[in-house]
Formats: sequence, structure tokens, C-alpha cells
Amino acid sequence: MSNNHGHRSLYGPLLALMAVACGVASCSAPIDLSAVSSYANTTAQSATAFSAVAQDFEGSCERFSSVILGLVQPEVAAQQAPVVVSSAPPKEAFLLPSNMTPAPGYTAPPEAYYAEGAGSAPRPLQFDPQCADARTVSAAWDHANTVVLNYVQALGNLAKVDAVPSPNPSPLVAGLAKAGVSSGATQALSGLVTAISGFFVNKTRNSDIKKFLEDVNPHMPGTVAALEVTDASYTIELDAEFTKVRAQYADYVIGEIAARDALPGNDRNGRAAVNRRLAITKGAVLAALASINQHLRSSHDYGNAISGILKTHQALYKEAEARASFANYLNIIKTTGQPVLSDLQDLMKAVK
Amino acid sequence: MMPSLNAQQIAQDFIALAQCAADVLNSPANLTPQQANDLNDANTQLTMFAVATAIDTAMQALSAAQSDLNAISSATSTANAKANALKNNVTQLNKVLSIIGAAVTLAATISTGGTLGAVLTAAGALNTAAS
Repeated sequence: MSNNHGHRSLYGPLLALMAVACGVASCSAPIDLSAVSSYANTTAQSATAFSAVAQDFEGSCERFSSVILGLVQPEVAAQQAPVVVSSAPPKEAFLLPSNMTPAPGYTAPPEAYYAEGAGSAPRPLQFDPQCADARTVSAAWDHANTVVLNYVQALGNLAKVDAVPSPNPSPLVAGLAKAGVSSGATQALSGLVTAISGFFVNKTRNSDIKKFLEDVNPHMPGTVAALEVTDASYTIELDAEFTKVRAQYADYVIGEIAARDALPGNDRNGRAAVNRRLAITKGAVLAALASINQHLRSSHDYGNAISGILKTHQALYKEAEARASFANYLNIIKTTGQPVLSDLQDLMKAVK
Repeated sequence: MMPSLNAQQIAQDFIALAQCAADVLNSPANLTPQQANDLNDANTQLTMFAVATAIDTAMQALSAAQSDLNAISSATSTANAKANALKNNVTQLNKVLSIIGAAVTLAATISTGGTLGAVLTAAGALNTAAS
């Protein structure tokens, strides 16, 4: 009896303490971390696509070199060649459609270029057919991508996505129950332990996130600007490749048609051979151009994703400086971060 | 120093000119093979300059960002270490709660006159929690 009385006297203060703790720790519905999880996981999954984009900086240079030398290299099997059903189709039959244009790539915003560089004339440059500089860019771009992706991953780690165990008061509750403490009191104590430890975990987590965002913030605009400029350069490279393939192929067609039409009138086999060759080549060129357009779409999606990562970072930093709660961070990931997920998913599809 | 927007714009202008050459080559205009060759050569020069400028621009941009990249890498390592530290702290807290719980259970078993077997079981649980 006296024991029960003792429990009741313990129960009251415990409930009061718990109420205070809940007030401090903002006891509410459990925080839904799925937005952070999606943001961090999708970004991690796009690492392969980021790497493929960076590697193709060198790839485009090498394909361009090859076209200049007169060789078009489609990355996929050439489309089926059209069947020639005339002894002397005009050159228009083999030339590419006039509406064949490169897909929109990426153009870096003007602010991506530092003012000190603006207005200066480009250095006289010579194209290196061995693509040594392009190879260097691919490696450096890949490294820079990894740094940015690791930053997003670290944000996810700090947010404890699927990583940190929850405070577990069960063993203590079991011991107290064995000692005869009433279930009401043990439940109150369990809530108290969870609330207090949750409060300190959240406080530490918010403080760690804030510090991380502050440390990264001075360096993020410069990094993303470099990635945007590099991606815009990649788009120029791909545009040049597309244009070069078209011009080189048309030159080839005009030469071949002139040679065919100069054949003696009775050389039907000779004309048929030229026609077949042109038809096969056209199929390969169309496949090559389609492939370049696919790379241009990747460049476009990559640029948007990188810009979105910067915007999300800046919004998180702004909230951190305004002493944001974790819920505020989550809200930013759900709103500002959402377009990044779409861009990353588009990029992964484009690279496939 | 970051590359200039001007250089990038000039490269784009060269691409636009090269596209004009490619359009003419792909048009129904009756070009002689020599004219087609000349136009194709012009296209080659324009696109080569554009590609060389694009590569140089990207090299400059990535080089200029190197110190920023190093700083972000360093901050990321620190952040990951803190994330692990917090994870370990919660694990430690749970361990302490387990030890206290096992100790209370042992004390309750002894004070309520539990059997030797029950006391030994509770003591074993405490030992496990503390190890």
C-alpha cells in the first residue's frame, strides 16, 4: 500500500518533468525523414551518371577528332540503312533532313563567370587531336562531381538518414517494472528519457548541420560555377561535334554523287555500289547524331541538377543562419530540393 | 582566374557560323565537290576553334575552383566524423540505459528475496549489458 502511494508520489513529478521536457524538445509527430533520404539517395544513385557525363568530355573530343579525319563513329549499332529503289537517286536522297538540329544543351548563367575574367579576349587556341587537355578536364570534372556528391551525402549523414539508432529506454523500464514501479510511472520515465535524449540529439544535429553549411557556404558558389562553366563547354563541344558530322557527311555525299554521275552510263553496278554505300553511311550518321543529341540532353539535365543543388544549399544556409529547426531544413529539401530530384532522374534516364 | 564569358560567347558564335556552313552543305544548292570541300574546310576550322576554346575554358574553370573543392572536401570529412560521433553517443546512451536497467533488475531480485538462480540470471544480464 505504502509502495503504491510511493509510486503515485513519483508519478506526478515524472509527468510534470516529462511535460517540461516535451515542451523543450518539441514533442510532436515523428519527423518524416523520407525527403532527406530521397534527396541523399537519389544524388548518390546519380553518381554513375555524373561520372559518365564527365568522361564524355574526353569522349566527345575523340569523336570530333575522328570526324575531322573523315570517320564517323556511332556509339550504338547503326540504324538499318534505307533500301535504294532507284538507279540514280539525287543527292537530296542522301543528305540529312534540313530540320536536323542539335538538342538544347546547357548554357551557364552569366554569373557563373567571374567578373575579372569577363571581357578578356580568348587566347589563340589550337585544337589538339590527341585530346590530352580534354582528358585532363574529364578527370578534374569527375573529381569535382565527387566532391559535390559527397557534400550532399554528408548532409544526409548528419540528418541521420537510416543511420542513428533511437534512444532505447526499454531495458531501464524493464528493470523498474521488476522493482515494482507502476506501469504508468515507467511509461512516463520512458517518455522522459526519449524526450530528453531526443532533444539533445536534435540540438547536436542542428548545430552540426549549421556548422557544416557555414563551412561549405563560401566555397559552394565557386565550385558550382566551375561545374556550370565546364558543362556549358561540354555543350559547345557536343554542338561542334554535331555540326562537324553534318558538314563532313554532306561533303562526302556531294563528292560521291558527283563521282557516281560521272560513271559511264552502262556501269549500273558501279552506280548501285555507290548508292548502297551512301545509304549505309546515312544510317550510321543518323545514329551518330541521335547519340550526340542524347549527350546534349544529359548535359542539359546535369547543368540543371547542379544549379538546383546550389539553390538548395543556399536555401538551407539561409535557414541555418536564421536558427532554423530541423523541420525547416526538411521543408527546404521538400520544396527547393524537389526539382533537383526530377533533374537527377532525367539525367539518369538520359545517360542510360 | 575563371574563364571569360566573352570567350564562351565567341565559341558559340563560331558554332553558329559552322552550323550555317553545314546548313548550306545539306541544302539542295548545287555545290561542286570543290565548293563543298572549301565549305567543309571552313566548317572544320570554325568547329576546331570552338572545341579548343571550350576545352580551355573548362580547364580554367576547374583549375580556379580547386581551392574551393579542397575546402568542401575538408568540411565534408569533418561533417561525416560528427555524424558518426553522434551515432556513437546514442549507442553509448542506450548501453548506459541497459546497464542501469540490468542493475535495477538485479537489485530488485535480491531485495525481493529472489532465488539464487534468479539472482545469478540477473547478475549475468548486468554483466552482459556492461561488457
